[in-house]
Amino acid sequence: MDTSTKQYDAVIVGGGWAGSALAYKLAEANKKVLVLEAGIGIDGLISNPADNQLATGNRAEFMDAFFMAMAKTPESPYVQNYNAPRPSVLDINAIDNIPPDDCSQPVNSINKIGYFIQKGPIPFGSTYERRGGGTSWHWLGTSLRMLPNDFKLKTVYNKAVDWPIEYEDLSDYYDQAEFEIGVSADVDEQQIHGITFSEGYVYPMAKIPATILDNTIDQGLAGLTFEGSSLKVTGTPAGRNGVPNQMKNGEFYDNGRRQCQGNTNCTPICPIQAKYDSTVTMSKALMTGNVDIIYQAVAFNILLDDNGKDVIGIEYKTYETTGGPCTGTFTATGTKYIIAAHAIEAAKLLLMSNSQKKNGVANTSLQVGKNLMDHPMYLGWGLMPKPVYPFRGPLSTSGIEGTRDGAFRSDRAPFRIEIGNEGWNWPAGSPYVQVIDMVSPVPDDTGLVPVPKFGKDLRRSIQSVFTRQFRIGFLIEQLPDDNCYIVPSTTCMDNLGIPRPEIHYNFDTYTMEGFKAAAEATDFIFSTLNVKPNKLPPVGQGGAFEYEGVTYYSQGAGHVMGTHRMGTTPDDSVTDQNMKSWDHGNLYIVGCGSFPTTATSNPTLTMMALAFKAADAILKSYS
Amino acid sequence: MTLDQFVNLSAALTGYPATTLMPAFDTQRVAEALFAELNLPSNNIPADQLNELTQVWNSISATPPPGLEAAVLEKIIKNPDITRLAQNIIYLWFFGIWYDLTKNPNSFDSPNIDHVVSPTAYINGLVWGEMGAHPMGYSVGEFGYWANVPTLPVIS
Amino acid sequence: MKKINTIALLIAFAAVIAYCGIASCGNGNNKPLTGTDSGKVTSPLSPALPFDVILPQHAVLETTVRRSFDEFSWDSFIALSWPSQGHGLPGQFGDNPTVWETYKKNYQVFLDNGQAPAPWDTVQQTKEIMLSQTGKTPDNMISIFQPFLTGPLIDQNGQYNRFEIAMNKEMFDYIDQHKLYNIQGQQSFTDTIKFPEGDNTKKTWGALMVKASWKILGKGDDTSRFHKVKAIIHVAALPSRGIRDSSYEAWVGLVGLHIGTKTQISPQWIWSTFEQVDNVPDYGKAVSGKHYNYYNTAAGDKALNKAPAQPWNPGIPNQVPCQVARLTPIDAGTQALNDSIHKILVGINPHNVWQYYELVGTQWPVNPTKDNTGDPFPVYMANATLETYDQGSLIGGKVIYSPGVTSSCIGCHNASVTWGGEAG
Repeated sequence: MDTSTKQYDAVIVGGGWAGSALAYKLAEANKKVLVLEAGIGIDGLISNPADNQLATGNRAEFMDAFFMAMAKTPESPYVQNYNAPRPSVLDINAIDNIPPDDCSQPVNSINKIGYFIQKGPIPFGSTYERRGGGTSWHWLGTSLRMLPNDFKLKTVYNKAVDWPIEYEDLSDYYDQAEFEIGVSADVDEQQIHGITFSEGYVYPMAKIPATILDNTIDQGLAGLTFEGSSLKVTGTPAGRNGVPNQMKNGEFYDNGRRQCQGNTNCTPICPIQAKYDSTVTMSKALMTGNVDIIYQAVAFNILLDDNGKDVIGIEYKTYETTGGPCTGTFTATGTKYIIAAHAIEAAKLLLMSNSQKKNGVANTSLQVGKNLMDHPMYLGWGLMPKPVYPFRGPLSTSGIEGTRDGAFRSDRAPFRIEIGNEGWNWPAGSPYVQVIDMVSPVPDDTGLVPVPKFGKDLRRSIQSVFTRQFRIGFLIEQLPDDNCYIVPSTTCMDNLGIPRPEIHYNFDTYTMEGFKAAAEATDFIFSTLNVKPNKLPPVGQGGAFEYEGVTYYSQGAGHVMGTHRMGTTPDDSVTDQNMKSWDHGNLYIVGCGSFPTTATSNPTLTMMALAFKAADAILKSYS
Repeated sequence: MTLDQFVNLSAALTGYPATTLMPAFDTQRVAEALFAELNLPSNNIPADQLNELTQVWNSISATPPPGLEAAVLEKIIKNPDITRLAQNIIYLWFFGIWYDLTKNPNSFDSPNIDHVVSPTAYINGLVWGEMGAHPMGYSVGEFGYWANVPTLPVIS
Repeated sequence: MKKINTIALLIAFAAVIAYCGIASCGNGNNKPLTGTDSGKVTSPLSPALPFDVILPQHAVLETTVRRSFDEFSWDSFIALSWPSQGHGLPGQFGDNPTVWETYKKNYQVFLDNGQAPAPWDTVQQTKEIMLSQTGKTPDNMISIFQPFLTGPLIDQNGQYNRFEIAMNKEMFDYIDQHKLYNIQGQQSFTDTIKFPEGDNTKKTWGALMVKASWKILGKGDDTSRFHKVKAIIHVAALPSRGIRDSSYEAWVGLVGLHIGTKTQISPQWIWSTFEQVDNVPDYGKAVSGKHYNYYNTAAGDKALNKAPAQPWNPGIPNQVPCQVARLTPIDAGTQALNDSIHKILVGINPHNVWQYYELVGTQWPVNPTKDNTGDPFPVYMANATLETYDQGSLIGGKVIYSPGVTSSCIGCHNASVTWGGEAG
């Protein structure tokens, strides 16, 4: 599409979560918006009829890829695109296990070692998606607000930095985000650790019913604490459709989508779109008639004016097929520019744009790409004494939130405890691995091969054992760290010749102490519940590390944060509290990369709240 | 091996009645799809293994139920020639997956020809219902079903 | 108060009352169509709606059982298309206003303000359809979206299809009596929703709903091949493109009809779907130069079965027509039945519009007690004008079906719940 003659009020790089939210808010306010999305388009989400001639994607196709995948990873529905590549959990390896590769052949290299160039010492464990809808396709749905203390780690616990905003600054935006997503929760349950809600606030939909597992854990831990933190089980606010509530204005909430049917597949994909994904919001943005979206458009250079002050354009490459060559280079222009490309890609783009400023665009602070953070996760899994019937309902309906805040945060990372409804699927490849162990057993420790199970005996074993499987997962806080950063690789490119992300990553003592506490909490919870723990290493061993002689296995939570953080001064942050670059008055950088610290809540809801906050600021800035 | 022999052998190996595996009114046609895997050249099934399994099965298939299980154990499961192939049939039914015969299914040795037979085979995998659940990604349950205790299938 | 989104209120299907109170409706000739071999119909058409399917003696799923359900579908379609007043057989004078058009439309049951709907009154409802036929008070057609906002359907003239839902008296009475016509009513209803079921033994009808897809007739359309009504066409405002809210009158032709019927044998409902015969080619089988309602033989297949570019507003000029093909051909047995019924219709009048409608298929629960869905057959079913974008996927030129996503009447409707979370 030739956009060179059209005047846009805003150019947005990224058609995923933040990009869709911003496009929608700006378009609703009658601004003309251009979205550049690196990956493929989604059926029904195009603004140019010619795009229907390209290979667009849709849920049915993604489900097919998922059904046919041997490893049902978060990426399994989403075929790799060598022109807008994305990482895969299957490529996460201990650094010294990564096969040697000289990157001379991009497609082969990406297949062999993955998209990331991992330098370690610990491999970065999380992934993301690049296509219309972005990573929202495979988010779990957890929509938790941050705690008031999460914004003030430095002030309260003398750790890391404070955010330039407080909980109260974001409260209204949380309301808006929960409304746009359609979050199901019980507001009474959510007033924890000082979280407050606006007067008479009602969540759009009622809390999703708890599972048998949730209730079992809740009853078993009633009244108990761990290191002073309550172990009460609470419903987890979720961006998936439940029973609508009557809102403050008297109307019943209705987003026209189906109700959750418990497909137990939120990650990697909800078959029926009961779970929100940002195509919902992008569709509304497009319906205003104010948005043009160009797919298969990979931004690679941000152009500044001669003074290096304002952004005057974004250069992007196009391609026709996901493994084919570049088909052209174009420049998108507008009044304002918004980078909403996901934490790693946004940082990479800013750093790559170094022809005018040697440290890249928006990087006087030298913080771009730094402070790369995840929620490293510790998994505990075992067998309950009585059946809890896993693999039913959404992937997670409840958690333990008491552990997210407390005086201990001066010494060690906090965590939230996610209760998983999918048995041992994530840590141990259930049900496949365990059935195979029974049907095709290998020699045990003594060298004897057990008799292979079959028939009714096999069935009885599955019925009596698998029904007791469960897992918990600890989302552990990580602090911003100069040693955790991404830079554009100087040697490894994707199929378009654009640098792949080179990642340096590690855990500090704060986080490792968090793992230690998570392990202790697991032991305590399991022994209280009379659980038979499974102590084997998990399937995902790439994130293994040692601390005080104990090996821990960290799993990525899929939360990529910190790489273009907001702050109070240009000295140590990339943007102000409205996500406007300190360096360039018409540039905004919005996403989980905006987070100065990670806290313990899944970041998505906060990211959307921030996107709405940025949208407000951007709209004000036009006048 | 004929389709009927495959279904009856599968019944013995899986512990499900043949009429469950291939019902009279068969909307999913899983038995046919799984049976086709035994005839796929790309699965590299050694002909002599398939023949031996067929012959051994035919020789014991008429054994009345109490003795049939023991016969399957002795003649098939404990028979190193054909046990791996018989186990693959169990996996076909429980997972909808065909595993490479040259390695243990839990091994990641590659290259290998492990593959999901089809989306239909996957959603009809028996392991899920066995637990009172459903295949991840495919549920016919109503909203909120997960709060209720399921009924596990009867093992007759 | 907010308009109730009828999509979210998907709760059931309409029952058709074969309103034989109207004179000369055929004196209760209740014999349904029977066919003992391929294509031979042995009974005349009947205005009497079937209560339930009549299962065959020798039951083979793909053939004889399917045939029984297909006959149920045709019996229903004929009875529903019977002239709603006046004399004669369907199409005896070419076209006729239909019985189902006298049913209450969704928007007449689920009112904007949640008020109780007006009582069932077919005389009044028939008067309205008469007026609509002459253009006095045309049918109000607003809805342009297929379920779950997958997209509108745009024809060769750039016009958007319109959709509407109607229900029979049995279904309406149940909703009315249990006050399910508004959100509060649905939320207070704590019982299991159990719409009345058609029953061959008790000789009662069940809940029945129709969903109709209409095309605005225009250039290139041979209007003699459509059942037509005069309708009010709405265009919603779109300020960014200078489009104002407006309405105008136009003749629309029926291109698709879903019939859903709840019966004792099929508690998950019987799903019958019909299309106008010129709608779309079978995938890969388009006849070059032939006129299709939603396919251009010169345009190629790259954009096949994809929703049009946004924004979706019928007021935008020069929109690119959708390119649609049927991914799953009509079953040969169903087609044979279609042919035999068309012969009868042509025999009534060579210009009978109803000869231009074909049964695409019937879906029913094969094993109603197996699980919630009752094990539907065929597993997937789609109407090219109503589930255009959910027929399946083309991957490498092959048609791929995705369980739980590709269109299945029962698969989707089975999950429909009221605002109180009760399954319907």
